[in-house]
Amino acid sequence: MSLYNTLDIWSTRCGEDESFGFDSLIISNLNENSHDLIIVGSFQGLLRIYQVINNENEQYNFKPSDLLLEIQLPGSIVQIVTGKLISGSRDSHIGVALSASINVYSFSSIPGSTEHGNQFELKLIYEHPLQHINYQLIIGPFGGIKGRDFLCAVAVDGTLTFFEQESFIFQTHLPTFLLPSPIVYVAESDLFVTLSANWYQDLVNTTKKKFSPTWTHNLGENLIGIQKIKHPLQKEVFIVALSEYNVTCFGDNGCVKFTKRLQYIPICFYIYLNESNNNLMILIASDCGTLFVYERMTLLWSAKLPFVPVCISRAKIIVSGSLVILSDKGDLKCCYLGTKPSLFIAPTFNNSISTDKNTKVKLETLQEEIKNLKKKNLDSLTLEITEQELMVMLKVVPFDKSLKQCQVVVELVPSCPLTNVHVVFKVAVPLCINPKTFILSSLCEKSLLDAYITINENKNIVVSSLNVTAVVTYMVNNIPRVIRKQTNISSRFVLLPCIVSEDKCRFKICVRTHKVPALLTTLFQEYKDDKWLENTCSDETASFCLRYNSDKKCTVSLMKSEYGYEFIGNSIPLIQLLLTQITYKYKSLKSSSDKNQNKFFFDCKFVLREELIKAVTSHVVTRNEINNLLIFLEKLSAQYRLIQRRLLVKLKDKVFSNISAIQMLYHDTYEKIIETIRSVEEKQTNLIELSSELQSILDITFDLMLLNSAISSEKVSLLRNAMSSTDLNTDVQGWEERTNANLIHLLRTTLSNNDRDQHRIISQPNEMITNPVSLENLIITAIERVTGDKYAKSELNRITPILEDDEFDENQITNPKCKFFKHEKLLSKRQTYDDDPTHIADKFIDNGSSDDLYDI
Amino acid sequence: MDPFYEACYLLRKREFTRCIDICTNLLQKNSLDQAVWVLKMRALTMQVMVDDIEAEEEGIADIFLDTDTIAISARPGTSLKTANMNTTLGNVNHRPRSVSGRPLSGVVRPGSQASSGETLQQVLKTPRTAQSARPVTSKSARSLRLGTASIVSQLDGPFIQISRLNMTNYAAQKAVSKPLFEYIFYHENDIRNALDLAIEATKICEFKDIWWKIQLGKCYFLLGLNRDAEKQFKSALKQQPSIQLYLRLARVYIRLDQPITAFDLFTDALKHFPNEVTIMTEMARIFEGLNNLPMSVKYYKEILQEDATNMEAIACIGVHHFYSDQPDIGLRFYQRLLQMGLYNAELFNNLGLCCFFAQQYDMVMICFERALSLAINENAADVWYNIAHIAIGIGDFDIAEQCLRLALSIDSTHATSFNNLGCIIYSRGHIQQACSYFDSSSALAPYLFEPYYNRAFVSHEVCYNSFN
Repeated sequence: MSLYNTLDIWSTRCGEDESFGFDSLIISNLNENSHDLIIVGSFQGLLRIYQVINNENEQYNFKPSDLLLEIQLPGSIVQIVTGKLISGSRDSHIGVALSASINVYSFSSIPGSTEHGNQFELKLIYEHPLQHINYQLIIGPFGGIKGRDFLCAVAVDGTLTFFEQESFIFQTHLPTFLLPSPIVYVAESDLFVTLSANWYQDLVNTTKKKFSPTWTHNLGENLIGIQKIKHPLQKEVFIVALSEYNVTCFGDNGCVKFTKRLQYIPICFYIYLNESNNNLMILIASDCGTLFVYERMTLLWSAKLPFVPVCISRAKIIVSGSLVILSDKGDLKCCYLGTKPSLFIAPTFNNSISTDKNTKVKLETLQEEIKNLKKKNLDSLTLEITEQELMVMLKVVPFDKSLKQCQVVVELVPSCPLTNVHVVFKVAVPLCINPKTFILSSLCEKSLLDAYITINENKNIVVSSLNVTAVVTYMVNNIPRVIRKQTNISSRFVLLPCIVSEDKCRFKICVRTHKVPALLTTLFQEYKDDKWLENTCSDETASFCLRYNSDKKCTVSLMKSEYGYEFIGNSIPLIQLLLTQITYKYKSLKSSSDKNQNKFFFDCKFVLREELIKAVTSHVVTRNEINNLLIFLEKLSAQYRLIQRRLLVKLKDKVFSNISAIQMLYHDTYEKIIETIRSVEEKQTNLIELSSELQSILDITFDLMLLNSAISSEKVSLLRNAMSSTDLNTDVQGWEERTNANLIHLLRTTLSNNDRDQHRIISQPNEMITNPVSLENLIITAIERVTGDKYAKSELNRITPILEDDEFDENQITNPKCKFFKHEKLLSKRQTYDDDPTHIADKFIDNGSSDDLYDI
Repeated sequence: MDPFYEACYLLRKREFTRCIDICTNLLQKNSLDQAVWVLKMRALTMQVMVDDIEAEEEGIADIFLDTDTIAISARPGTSLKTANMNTTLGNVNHRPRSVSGRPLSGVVRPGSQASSGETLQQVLKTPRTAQSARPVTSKSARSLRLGTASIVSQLDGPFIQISRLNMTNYAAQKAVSKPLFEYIFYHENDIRNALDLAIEATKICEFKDIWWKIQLGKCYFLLGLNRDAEKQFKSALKQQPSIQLYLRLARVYIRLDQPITAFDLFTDALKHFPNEVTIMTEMARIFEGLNNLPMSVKYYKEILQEDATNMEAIACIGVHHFYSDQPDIGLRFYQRLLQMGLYNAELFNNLGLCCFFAQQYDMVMICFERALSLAINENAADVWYNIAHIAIGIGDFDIAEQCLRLALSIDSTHATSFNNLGCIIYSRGHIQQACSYFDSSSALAPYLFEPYYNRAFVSHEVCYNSFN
């Protein structure tokens, strides 16, 4: 990691497919030239000598004339040295350590007669064959002789062979030697410094044939390289040893001058003296190709090298002190440390955003996405998990000819063992399903559950929907999981073709289509064998009645003047049923083509106003009646209990008295109670019928509103949720109370039109709605607000002529959570009220008991 | 070329596999060649060897079964374990804590994952993620993994059957014993046998070779015999001081939780080895562990005088400037790291944060985009957390919330994200939800004070509002 790169001055490549070792490079000034020679020898035995001549006018690229000599030697070149190796000559010669011999060559130039320049040649002067494989060649004036250099060949097995120029002197063996490690000769004190096999730094005196260490230092690490340099003025010698983790500098007496711990893995190094102040400089190349320049211990410079070098040196080429590096593949480079930082530039990043405008657009889409994500119910996430755990499939088995019952099959495929799985079915009245619930204590493998749908005895009710819903619930780690599945039963189960006389029909609804509507025979294919033609049913018209109650009838026919269907019948619920059936079938028929074209259209905004009002009124009235009856029943039963008590008192009395009056009263009250209970039951069945009808009317109203493109579907679904038509008869809370609270909330918030809406009073949660008129008004106002009925709008505009209000309405978003929250509150309060009715009744009786008794 | 020479050359070039192959061939020809045998042993050792001075970690068992503790509750400033107690009280700068509860450092080191003075329960409760996973004992973790890795690479069984070695015999062979010890210690990771060999060898050299003393100390240290290790290192130090020895002895003191002694030792070491970068780094780390950040930064600055490319020093000084409200100066340090060629998610994340707080808004998004593109699983959560910070700074709570959720989806134990998410949720008025986020945050990171404060604040507000 460094800011700088070394910069090339001159570079070449030595041969192809050759390899070079850690001693393959030497810089020498053989013939006292002004320029240094670069001598490189490869393991393949090729010796090359380069000389780069400073020519100011030219670029310093490699020229063929820079290579002075290239020669193939017999055997791989281990090391090259230069020195005064020939007796009687003061010139420097080249000594080459081949793997099995030491050769000494003279390097000379023959001046050329033409412009070709000089010719160079290498002459073998003498050769010392060796018995051992050469590892290193040491050169030096052993024994302190001046003007002559001797050679010492170090073999891989630790044999040292000494040669005094041309003649062999002696051979010896290094003690405790196992693996070869670098050796350096210090001429100043005539010492050899090396690492012994037990990782001591040893010093060997060569004048004797025996090895006795002059000084030792426990290095404790493997040696990578060792070099020495002499201070020219102070006669101080620096011996620098590079080991695996440290670089240590010794004096020639063995004292440690300094140590530096390295934080990288060193590969090779070179030492020299700073020319200006004669300080020791160390160049270290690391295993990741970085060059570190130290002045003693302080890091002066670090630069990235183009490759990991095996040899590093310093030469006077072009500039004095240029760096020469050689890689193991033969790349030879002269570089200098440039001061221009080559900053690291991060790779270009594929950035899709280029301008401010794009950024703005991206931010907006991002915010939109986040909003959508929040809107999305979190259930969808949990649903996916649930689907992975348990696969539920709901199927209706095609029924047999008797048409008495319809089989429904639920298939459960768990992916992990589940316990306590509940399956609950739901169908609309008067259909009933048996069994209604399944409880599986453990579910480990695929299982099938059968249930049968039959028609209840109460034949007055028209089926409001043919949906079958299965709800599967179970717990995993105390987290409830719910899966809902829905399917349809065929309409053939409840509807039957019949003949209709038109005069009885009271209701008519027309639904238009975009294209030619599908023929009825294609829509009702399942009726083919059901006396379709006998009942005057054709492609254009068809009449249906309920299978269990032939009073209610409805005719569907294609419109003659326009595209569309016409529904004529005497019962709105039946029309609603047929309408949903046809809508469903029509959609499934043409699902492949464009969706918009499959839609029905309905122009009127709000039909069935009277019917709705009527249904609501009768529902409220019936409910009130039931309530009154219940209150009456309460009183009667209180009275009955009193009479019983009185009777008991009389019976316990020791004095006999006539009880016939009480008996009469007793019987009379009893009969009244029974009678009231019967009428309550009757009213309750009646209420169920009315509820079903109300449900159908609400459904058809909203369905038709949805078909009208002029009305926003969002608001319709909002209103539909507020006036939820499911579960009209619950024990806890009536439909009226719910609808009342929801509608008032809607009118105060989303559907608010003017300030007056803010003053609408929310009814008390435990207050029962008994007045149908106020509820009707609420319903009508809410529907009119949604449909944007002209009359209503103009009237309101007169009161508050602020037109912006309308726009404002649409922008407002209701908070559905709030609504549900209020519901819960309502529920809980009513529950406490209804908790213990008998207890309250008792209290009432106790208080008034004495008075009543006297009356009797 | 001679194969033995080539093998030596390849070993120096650090091409270990080729070197091992050549040695194997040579050994097949002559199985009694000791030099080749040692060469192969060295190659195998160097293949897996790491600088083990910094690589050790304190295991959970070592904390729990710590018999060397002098005082249960040490005086502030004298123990690394009580370092957190005196944090931030007199100190203006407040640094966040890492997953294990230590003050955040500029670099991740083996030691920086060691947790502060917490009980065993707390250690076990800390979520085990890549950032906080800790070995059960000190002899496991990294060193064990190295040992197993080497066995896999040798299909024809282990190179040396250590159980069959005659330790006394080999200890006597001076040329072989040291490489053999390193092979057993680093490659086989068999500390007991290595210790046996070291004991035999040190007897043979009459307790004179400090190398064996250091190895004995290393073995004792790994076996948890800290006082024995200290004895060996001290005796070796008397004989011949070296940097490695000082570092190892200081490690023992840090394990014994005596940072002041370790610091004194280093001051002594600096007299022998003036301006030594590794020693000064250790000193800076000790001060950082004691939460004495100004002193730590002082040493890091001295390191930069000596070695201007020291990345740890640059990063630590950058962090210090960032948390002492000088993001623009911190930015310059991180810029330098980028220029030096460091290219990772953490750096871009830090650059982005510095840019944001130094009000150089044009660079913020680019930095974070790069950080995200470079992020891998663990640090992606941190990057998203920081982007959420930026979004909060801008005032876009929607994006902030989404970023925090992304952070949590990547790392479900990101306690600070839980806390911030709780704050955003609270500002939206969902009090219950916010409370549950604060709860999970404090459960995940008991050392954070923010979730506790927020929880208390929310509770107080709710109470206050309900009374009025």
